[in-house]
Amino acid sequence: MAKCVLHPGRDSATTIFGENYCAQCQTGIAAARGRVDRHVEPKECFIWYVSNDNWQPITGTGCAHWVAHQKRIHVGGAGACCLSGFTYRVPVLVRSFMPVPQVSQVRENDVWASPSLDHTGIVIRVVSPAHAGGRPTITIRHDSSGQGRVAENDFDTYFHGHGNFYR
Amino acid sequence: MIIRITFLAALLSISIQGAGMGKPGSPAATGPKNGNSVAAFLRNAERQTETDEQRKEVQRALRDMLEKPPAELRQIRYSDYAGKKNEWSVTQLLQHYFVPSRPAALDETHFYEDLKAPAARAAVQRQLNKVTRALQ
Repeated sequence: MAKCVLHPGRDSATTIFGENYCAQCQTGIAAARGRVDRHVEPKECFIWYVSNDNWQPITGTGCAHWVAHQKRIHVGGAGACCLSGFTYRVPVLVRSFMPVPQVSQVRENDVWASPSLDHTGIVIRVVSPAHAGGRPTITIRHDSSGQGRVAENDFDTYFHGHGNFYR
Repeated sequence: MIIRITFLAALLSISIQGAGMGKPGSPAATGPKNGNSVAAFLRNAERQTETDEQRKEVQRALRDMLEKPPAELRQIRYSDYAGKKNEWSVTQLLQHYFVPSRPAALDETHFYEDLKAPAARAAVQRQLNKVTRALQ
């Protein structure tokens, strides 16, 4: 009989993302999933085990978690990854990439992060400047807690042209 | 002796490999039995904020944690992610914007008592300094 990955004394009642969990964990996981904020995507793995059969939604906004799922980033180990193994920390996420030196070199699918590494998203559109030497128009898709959904916003207006890009 | 050390090393190796596979993290020290819950939650926590409005609300809450008496802090409600006023208690705000270094949850019962400790106030001050720098 398989045992719970967290409670070796208990029999496994279910398998979630490839791991065995006991009946108490199964109940706790289901309840925690129901409390994940509405803007967080994906929701079913944005939970963690705190202690003593206490499962909770992962804290924070989930911005890095969404980018990590899009980019398939698993780095950081147990203290930085959701239940399905994707990174939920911005600094850990961006360390997986190389910085893009200049805004003029930004391309679709580059990762953007705010200057203080407290928010992140993915470049989904780059429109070349109308005149030589101008700035490209960059659109960023991000899991937006403020807007309550995965949203698309202009880099220069919504993000005030601040932040760094990574590839 | 050598066999015992080899066995322990193998166990450690298995543990480290498991941690790298996205398995649940170790239980957190969040209650008074395990130390100060506020310090454990905020020390080395990562702040996640999207807009300056959110950063200002975090800044306001951290200042209140340092300046307001517990009875008053308990009554204050902060704006939510979308800026809707009077939605979140201070513990709710912290859990929406901060990711502690290890899985943790704040407990209302111990929070206000733990907040008085120097270690907790130092952790709050460090986070306040960081968000203030981000707003400059």
